[in-house]
Amino acid sequence: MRRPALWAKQLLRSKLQKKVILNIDYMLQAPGKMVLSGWVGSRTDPTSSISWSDGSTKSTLESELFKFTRADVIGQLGFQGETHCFGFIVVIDGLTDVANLVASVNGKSFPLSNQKFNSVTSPNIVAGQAGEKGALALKFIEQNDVASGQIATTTAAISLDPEIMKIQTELATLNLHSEDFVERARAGVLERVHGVWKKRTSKPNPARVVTHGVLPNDPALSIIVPIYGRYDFVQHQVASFSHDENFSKVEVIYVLDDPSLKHEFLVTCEGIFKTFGLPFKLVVSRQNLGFAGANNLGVSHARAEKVLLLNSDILPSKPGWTQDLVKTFDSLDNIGILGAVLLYEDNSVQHMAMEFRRDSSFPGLWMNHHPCKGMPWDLVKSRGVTKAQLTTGACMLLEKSLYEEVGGFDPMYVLGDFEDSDLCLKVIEKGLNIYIDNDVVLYHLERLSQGLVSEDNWKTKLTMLNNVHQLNKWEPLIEQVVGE
Amino acid sequence: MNRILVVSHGHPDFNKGGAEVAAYNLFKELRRHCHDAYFLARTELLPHGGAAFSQRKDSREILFHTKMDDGFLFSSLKTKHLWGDLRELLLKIKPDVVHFHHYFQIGIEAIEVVRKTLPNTRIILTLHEYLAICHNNGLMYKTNDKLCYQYTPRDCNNCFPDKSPGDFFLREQYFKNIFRRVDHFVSPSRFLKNRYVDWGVSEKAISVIENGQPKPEGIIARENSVERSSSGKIKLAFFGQVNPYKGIDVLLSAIASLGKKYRERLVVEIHGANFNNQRGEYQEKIKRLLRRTRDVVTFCGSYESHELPRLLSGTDWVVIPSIWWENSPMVIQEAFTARVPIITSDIGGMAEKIKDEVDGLHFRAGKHQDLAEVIVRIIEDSTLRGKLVDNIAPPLTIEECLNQHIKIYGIKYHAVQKQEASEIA
Repeated sequence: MRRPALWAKQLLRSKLQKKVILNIDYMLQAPGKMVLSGWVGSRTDPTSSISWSDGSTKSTLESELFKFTRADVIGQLGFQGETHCFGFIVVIDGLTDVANLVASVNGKSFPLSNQKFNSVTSPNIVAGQAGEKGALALKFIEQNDVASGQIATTTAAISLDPEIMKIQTELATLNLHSEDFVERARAGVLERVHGVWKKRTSKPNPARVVTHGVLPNDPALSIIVPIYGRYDFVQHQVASFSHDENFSKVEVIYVLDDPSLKHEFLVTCEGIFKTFGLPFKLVVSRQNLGFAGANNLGVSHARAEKVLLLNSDILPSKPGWTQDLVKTFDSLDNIGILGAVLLYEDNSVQHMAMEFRRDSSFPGLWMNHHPCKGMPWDLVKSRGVTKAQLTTGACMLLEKSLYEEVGGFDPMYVLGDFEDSDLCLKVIEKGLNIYIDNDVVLYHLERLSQGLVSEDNWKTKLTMLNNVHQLNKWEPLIEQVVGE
Repeated sequence: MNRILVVSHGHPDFNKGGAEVAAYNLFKELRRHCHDAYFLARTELLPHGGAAFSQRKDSREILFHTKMDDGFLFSSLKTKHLWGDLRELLLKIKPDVVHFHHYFQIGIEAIEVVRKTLPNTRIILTLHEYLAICHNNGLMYKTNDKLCYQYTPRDCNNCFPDKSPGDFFLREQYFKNIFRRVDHFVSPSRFLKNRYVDWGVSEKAISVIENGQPKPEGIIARENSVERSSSGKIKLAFFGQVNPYKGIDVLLSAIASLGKKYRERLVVEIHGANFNNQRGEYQEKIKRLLRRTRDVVTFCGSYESHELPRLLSGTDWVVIPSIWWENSPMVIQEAFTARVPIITSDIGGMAEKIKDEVDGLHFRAGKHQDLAEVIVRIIEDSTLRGKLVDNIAPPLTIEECLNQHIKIYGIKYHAVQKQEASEIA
């Protein structure tokens, strides 16, 4: 359920086809010097260095390079490993005009004028890119006589989301694996990040609604699917749903939570409807709300008594599954939320329930653990309905009235992380149960990625900060649930 | 009377690929038998003022000016070309049968649009490559230069790391969902059929029908030709596209490895199209090999299909050295029509259509040493060719091919008998 970061979305669109990629994230200018941070990746040959030159004079520039691992980039873009991809901070001397800077990697040139990056004034932000090596990176920048607090130039091509940048700056002060992570998060970071996030998510958001075709009058079920980044999933889901006659009683609602995609999304959705003929409703958010906000917005437009919250990268394994889920739901007493079995495309388990578990890498926190993840479903499968501690937000069936009564997903999990376990806890607190229908099996096609522990970037820190938020809200109930 | 719309991804006037030619031959044969048939061919030519269609020759041949908007899914739904323009055309033509010879370049959703627009129309799809199964141009040949035996999303991800296994799974499901709208499939080879059955299409849903050959004209049997008596050399020839999967480098390397006494006995002609569109590195490799074999090999460039009978009549052996599986290369039927035996790679559609030691000779695909041994053998054993020629069965004619199609079209049609048909022609 973790969301791809903003940068990843931009890259996926433009850079995936290239053999060698150089990406600049930040630039800091100081008198006579320039500091850049970014990463390099190569699909073919190993890569370990970058040379920098002045494009106008063709002369090579003096530079100092600081390298670090970008497990997130390797994971997201599927590079072979550290031999083929690294993060860097570079201090460059003696350049007169930024526009003339050219980087060269494995014989391929990258003019800076083609890069989209952010100009910043604080070395902390640049150093923050180095993750765990952030403190060393800061030292590296300072050793190269780059003073902080310089005025930035106005050359930034496209500015990243300013609120996300503020959050990144806050996160740079935290050390992911230190004993006092929870303590330090509680001592101000969480509050400040929430301050930024609250301001953003409480802005008025008049959503636009577009309906394709005639939706069922009295739907038995409303399916809410938030769309962020990849909207081609709509095409896949609708192609599949249109073969399932049960969808004549289902209201399908896509919530676009990615305003930058609005035009192409609307054009594509019209083509999808005209091609496959399955009616659906689009709710287009004016701003990026995050997973929780997008679902809350979608549910507010749902007309059925039951809502199924569904991720966009889920595909059914056979027709009739919505009816099966609803039938199971109606047969259970004291039901709060019903989940399903989610498999990877190779029929190994992605989700068959979730439970809280400690992780020695993250002292003090309760992680959402997926039992049997990666194991063949045939090996571990059970039939019928089982009770669970938690179920994933990738697929949750519940009454709309219950969802609204408990306030839906908590939007204060910044960019989205633990709102699903949080919702389960709210439901458990009301004395209701969480169940899994083991006979409803769907495919969940998550991107390939490294495990959480090896990743070390602001996004992982944010996940853990969100986890501290969950801990603040629910520690006693979590311990009670785990103890049962 | 039943109306049949044949859909092709190209018109042979512009693209002479095997699939385009097969589709057009079938259409012409339908017309020759006075069927109410139309031909719709995708084109990349510019249309008049943004029109989706234009006429070619007569009103039964229509060009469709369109292209896909997603090369991974072969998808086209962002423009109204399929769900708008094609739909309107279908409502005008109202075919009882739509026979797709491809969806490539047109967009796979064309099948969905036919089903939605004309729910009772019978949809037939001829499978020409492993396109739905394999993202590598439908070759089932891996990007690390190994043959691919089976589709799995994880292996596809190894070939194309930019796409996740999940993306390949989605692609598979997307094709399968749309393929459910097809009433019946045609495969020109059993091999290709089996690959689609392994992938998930029902065994019963696919009929194997070889591409039919138009009536042979002007073919002079090799034995009577003048060239043999004058030169006394054995002539090998390659016909087809020149690209890295066609194995021309295997053939040239085999020739290069032969000793002088064998080379003196040989003439090799490469009749290949599209050489100049290939990657520079590949062109260099071929040019280097051509220099090393220039005493034997002549690069003759492209040819027109009407020239083929004459070119074949001067040929002793056709060589098909492809390193990918192939489906049913046209040149096999053409060579057999001209009664020329074939030396071929021992895999896929080639091994199926050409029987080793019966009407041709096999060598291990991609192994030039093995091909060289076969060539030595045909030089040393002058009786071999004659024995194999005697075993060549006449290929399926376009007329027989049409009759088999008529059955799967579900049309009750026996009006014109074989005899009468040839009289009409």
